[in-house]
Amino acid sequence: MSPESIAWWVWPFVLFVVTFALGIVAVVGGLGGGTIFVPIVAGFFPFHLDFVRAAGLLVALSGALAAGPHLLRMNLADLRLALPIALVTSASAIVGARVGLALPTAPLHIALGVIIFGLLAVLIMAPAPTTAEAVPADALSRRLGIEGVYYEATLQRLVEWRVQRTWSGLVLFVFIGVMAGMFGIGAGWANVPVLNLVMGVPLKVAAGTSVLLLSVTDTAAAWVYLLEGAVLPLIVVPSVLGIMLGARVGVRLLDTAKPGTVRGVLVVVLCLSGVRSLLKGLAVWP
Amino acid sequence: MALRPDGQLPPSAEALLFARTLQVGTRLSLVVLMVAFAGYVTGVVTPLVPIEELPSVWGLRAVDYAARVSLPRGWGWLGLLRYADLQPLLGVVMLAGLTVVAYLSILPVFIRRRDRFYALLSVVQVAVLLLAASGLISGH
Repeated sequence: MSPESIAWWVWPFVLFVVTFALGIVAVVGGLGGGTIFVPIVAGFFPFHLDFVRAAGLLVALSGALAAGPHLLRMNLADLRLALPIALVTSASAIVGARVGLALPTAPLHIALGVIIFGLLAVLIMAPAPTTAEAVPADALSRRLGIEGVYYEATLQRLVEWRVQRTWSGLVLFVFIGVMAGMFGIGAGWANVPVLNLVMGVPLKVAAGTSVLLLSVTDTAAAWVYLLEGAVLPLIVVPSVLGIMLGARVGVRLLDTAKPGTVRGVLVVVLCLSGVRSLLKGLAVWP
Repeated sequence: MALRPDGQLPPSAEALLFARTLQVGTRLSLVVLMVAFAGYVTGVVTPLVPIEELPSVWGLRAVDYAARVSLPRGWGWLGLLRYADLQPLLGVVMLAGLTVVAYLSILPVFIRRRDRFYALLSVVQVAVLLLAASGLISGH
């Protein structure tokens, strides 16, 4: 049975169910929904990668916009830190989106497969996050006044933070922005390690600020896809709804779910998606 | 600086403004998106592309899809807003436009504080986002 012979409503319905599940495992597994959306939907649904990438950006954008206000009010997302980085990532994301839409589909699938295995490597082998308490600030971050204080509930005290290696971080964010725009992947999985491990931002502030960054980066790339006619509401709306509802359920399951098991499932599913993407790109299993 | 009852420091004025803009705007955008989508899938409003024909075109590249269904690129779709499948794009535009509004809302705070670098940063960011939204980069 070819995908085209299936009734039109089946795929959006399956998409809703799958993205609902993705929303749950994304929260419990500690990955953004936008990060796993593109690999899985591009691998196993009949939609062209252009439409999947546009939907992926809007899924990540909706999630970021929904979570951003709470994180800002809790001082877990920092505007002074986010603003300079967002300018770099958004400009790069526009370039990435343009390049992504201009490239032929096959090499994009191959590149996506490689990115998925890179994501898996980060997921499996990432070094332990640093607490980054009071790293010495570098000259640029001192000049820009990028520093902050947040309440660390596990320590029951306020924690001060500062930023180091700002220039190195900004250079890495150029690549992250290009990748986000080119593949429509929410870049939280790359933002957080750079903010935390390279720039010395505490993990919670890095994760919160990463959400704020996504809301600007994905906006910039989303415009490019929208104006190219790559936004199909029948793909976007069930995906956004599914991920958002799933994330709400995921938050409630956080206390009882076993993150180790969920991450194991995620690793297997992403592995299959990576292989599928490579096979699509190599025309072995189109 | 006084702590809040939950032990947190109060967020900055610009963080509060940014948060409020995103929160209100996201809710409004999602309502528009859902209402327009309901009109589309229930068949209340006629679509440009009959919904049962979508499976034969959603495997095409975006550029080929646009050519096949005569969808104008850039902002040309605004002229076809009477069609159900294009109305949800208004919600998408609202979502994508939110950060511009949020940046504009915090700009006066930076100007009042004489925080020239962050005021300039906000202006340049808005310009970058508007450039992307204008379609000039894509040649539309």
